[in-house]
Amino acid sequence: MDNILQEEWDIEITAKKSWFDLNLKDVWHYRDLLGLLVRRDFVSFYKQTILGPLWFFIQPLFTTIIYTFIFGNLAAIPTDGLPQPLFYLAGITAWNYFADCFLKTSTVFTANAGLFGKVYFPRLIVPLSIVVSNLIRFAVQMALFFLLMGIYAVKGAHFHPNAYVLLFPFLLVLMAMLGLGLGMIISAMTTKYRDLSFLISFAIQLMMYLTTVIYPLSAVKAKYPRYEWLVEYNPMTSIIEVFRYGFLGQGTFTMLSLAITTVITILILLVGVMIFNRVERTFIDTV
Amino acid sequence: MAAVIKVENLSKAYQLGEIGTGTISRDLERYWARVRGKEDPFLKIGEINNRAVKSESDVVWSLKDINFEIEQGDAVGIIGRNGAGKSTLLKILSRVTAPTTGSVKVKGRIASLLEIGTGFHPELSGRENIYLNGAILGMRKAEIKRKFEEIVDFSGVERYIDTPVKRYSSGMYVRLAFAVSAHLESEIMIVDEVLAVGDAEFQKKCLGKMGDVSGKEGRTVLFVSPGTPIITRISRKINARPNTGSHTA
Repeated sequence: MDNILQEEWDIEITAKKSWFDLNLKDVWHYRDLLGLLVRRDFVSFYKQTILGPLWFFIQPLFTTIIYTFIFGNLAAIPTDGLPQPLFYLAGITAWNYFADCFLKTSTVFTANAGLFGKVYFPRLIVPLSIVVSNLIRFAVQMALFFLLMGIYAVKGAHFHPNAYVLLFPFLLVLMAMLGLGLGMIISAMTTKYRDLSFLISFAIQLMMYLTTVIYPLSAVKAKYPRYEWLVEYNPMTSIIEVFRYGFLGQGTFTMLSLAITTVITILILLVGVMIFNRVERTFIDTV
Repeated sequence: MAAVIKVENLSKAYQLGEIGTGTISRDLERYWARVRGKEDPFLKIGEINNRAVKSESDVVWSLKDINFEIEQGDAVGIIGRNGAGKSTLLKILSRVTAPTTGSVKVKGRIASLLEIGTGFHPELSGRENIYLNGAILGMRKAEIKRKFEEIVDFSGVERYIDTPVKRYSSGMYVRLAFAVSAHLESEIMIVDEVLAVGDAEFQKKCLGKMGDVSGKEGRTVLFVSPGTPIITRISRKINARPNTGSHTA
């Protein structure tokens, strides 16, 4: 065999790898695994339960009822003139998708250490499968949202879906990217510093209060004009405000704020993927 | 014959003791050393890998400057004491962890069985687990479908194929898991002490399969075993040799 052929290797394993070598070709080869992992998550979720996928409904439904009672009636926080349950459910549905993606991605390394310690496959497949799995849950919750919209439309409540609804797929992608990016950054760091896993579950709760889930952005602007940037530059705020504007006709955003959100999201995702890619090679020694 | 695996100056260092306390300061120190272009202060050279002796340093070199080549169709057994670095070598070859220095070059696809049944989900049926496990090991869905009958046949658990694997006996579980792994299409197979499973009949079947893989199909097999009987049964050539110091390749 001649020398040129001798030097052709299919796999090279070296100590250092470039930050940008994402091996997307490998990810594509393993796309069937992504589907099977999504299926596994879905099937194992409702195995040996009586209500099965109905559980997806129950959580947002009860949360909405409680928010309507506490924040809507007891604390009388304004809802931009929208029917309170609709206002809260819109926020909860969008927020849940982001929070679920974030929380589950942030434990990818620690939760799958057993699997990752034994077999090689592009680790990126697992966070991607989480984002897709959560999509099923999100779809069920959206169905609940549409149902509630229908009920209120029949009752003759005031809300006006408009052309901004068309931005919905874009918003969905933004939420997935943001959850994925933040989750991957945290997951890469928890392999060494476990403190973060304690921090993250209540940090998500606190983050929700910095996002316009239980109050509209207009109320913050009116009451705390000096601190409203804290809420406004939180990327999830613009996403939820546009979401509400599209489906219900009320929401405060500008094209500029949406553009800033998009840029922040893309940056977070890039950083997340790079850190994740870096850590996946040796995390098994320190996890 | 052409070399299908070429290992050059491969080393792997591990941190001893508890990892966690002081990791941030250590990480900063290492980072600072790297920025200045100095050698990593935590990878002192000259430590030897001997689990029985207490050492000054917190770092152990599981593998140190390993060099070897494996040719196509070889069945190579790796033997050594506990803690000699056998599994570390296989882990690097299977890309589960990266080496500290050096490189490995491989021609063809690697199927590594560091454990069988990796990724099996107890709630899923035997059938669903064959697909899931196959995909984790790198098979495409169409490929698994094509071999499905063969896998079920080899495992001998056809009657239970639609039952969740949590209801399986441990022997049946292992049979199914090995059956999936044995049907991977790859040029190189890496096996780590997994053959000590199943009943006598199944062990014989596995050894026969391994012998076929390297003998008839011309694939390369690398495996670790603490004892020699299995090695002498399926290897044509034992390639393991003690390296410099007390390291075992």
